[in-house]
Amino acid sequence: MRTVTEQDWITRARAGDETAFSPLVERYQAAVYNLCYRMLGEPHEAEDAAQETFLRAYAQLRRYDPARSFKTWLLSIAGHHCIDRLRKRRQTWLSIEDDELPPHPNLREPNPGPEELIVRREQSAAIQKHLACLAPPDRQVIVMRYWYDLSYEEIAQATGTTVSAVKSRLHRARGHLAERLTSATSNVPRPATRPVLATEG
Amino acid sequence: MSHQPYSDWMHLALDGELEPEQRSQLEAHLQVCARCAALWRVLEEVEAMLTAAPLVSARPGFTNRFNARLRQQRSQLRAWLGVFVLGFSVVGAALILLPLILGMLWPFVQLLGRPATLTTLFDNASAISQTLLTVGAALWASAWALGAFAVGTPLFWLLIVTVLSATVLWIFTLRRLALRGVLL
Repeated sequence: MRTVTEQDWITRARAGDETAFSPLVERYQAAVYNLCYRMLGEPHEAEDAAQETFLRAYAQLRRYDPARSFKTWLLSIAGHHCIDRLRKRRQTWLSIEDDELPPHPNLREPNPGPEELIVRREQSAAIQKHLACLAPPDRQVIVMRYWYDLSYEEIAQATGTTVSAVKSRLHRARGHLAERLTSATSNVPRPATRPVLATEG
Repeated sequence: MSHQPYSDWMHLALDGELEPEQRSQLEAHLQVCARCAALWRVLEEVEAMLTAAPLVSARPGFTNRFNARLRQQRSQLRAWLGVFVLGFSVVGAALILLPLILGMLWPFVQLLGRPATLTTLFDNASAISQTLLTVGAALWASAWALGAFAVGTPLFWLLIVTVLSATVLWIFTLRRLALRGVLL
């Protein structure tokens, strides 16, 4: 018996079968939600943005090019939607830079132990705080690179820019994060050892 | 000491895109340049922080909530389309039928301007049959007049063709919407 592929679901959904879209939502909801959360920093808004992403994807399904990765296409829609939301946020005078981000939603779960919870809380708060200081397009590139391991080309396709623009944004964002880390830990003494480049592979 | 192109190379190294020869040069530079060495350490910290960041998941039941939202959105769309279809159909039907009805009624309206004829009609013993005959004659006359007008007026034919095309197009659109499950 032939297994139903992702392309089969897409073809059926494009033909108007609403139920065929559900498996696609199920498969990619974590990826889309994570991008929205990392971009917006607020769980409720991230949920709303992720839902809206899938609604838009369903409405625009006929425009989807099967030669492209469906995941990258979804992330592209999500990224653009989040940037639009962040722009609107700015218009309502809620500065992204000054916005204190709420804690990671997973931290509300009772499962982790107290020590692990503290570590996770600190790490998550630090990451979100650092991400929030980046310009939305730079933040989008960082999230796509580190959370989805997308290549320069895939990020360029998803963001509608060129590969060189992606490299430039990625380098700028990393540089900015490095500056923030330096200023945050400038009082902490560093080891005197010389660094060595990690071996690839 | 120049720190370029080493700062760019550090980013390329993090992305695994640095050539082996450039990599050796960068390593050598990091051994002698404290500033670049410090930057490299911090970039490595950034890399480690971002690489270790977990993938955040939505609350359970995301797909069910999405399906409910999709259904709600589509029912709203259907309601709007229903209003649009009904409104457009009523207006279209009125535009088509109104001139015909007015054309048919026009002889009767003219009769109202001649009370004597009306009196004669209804006073007469054979008023009923007379009235029916008059109505028939009036309908025939108006239909004949319309036909004569149509034959001699290309604009009328253009109107007829336009109305028929619009009707066919409208039926076709309704059928497509119904097939896609938007209307039904």
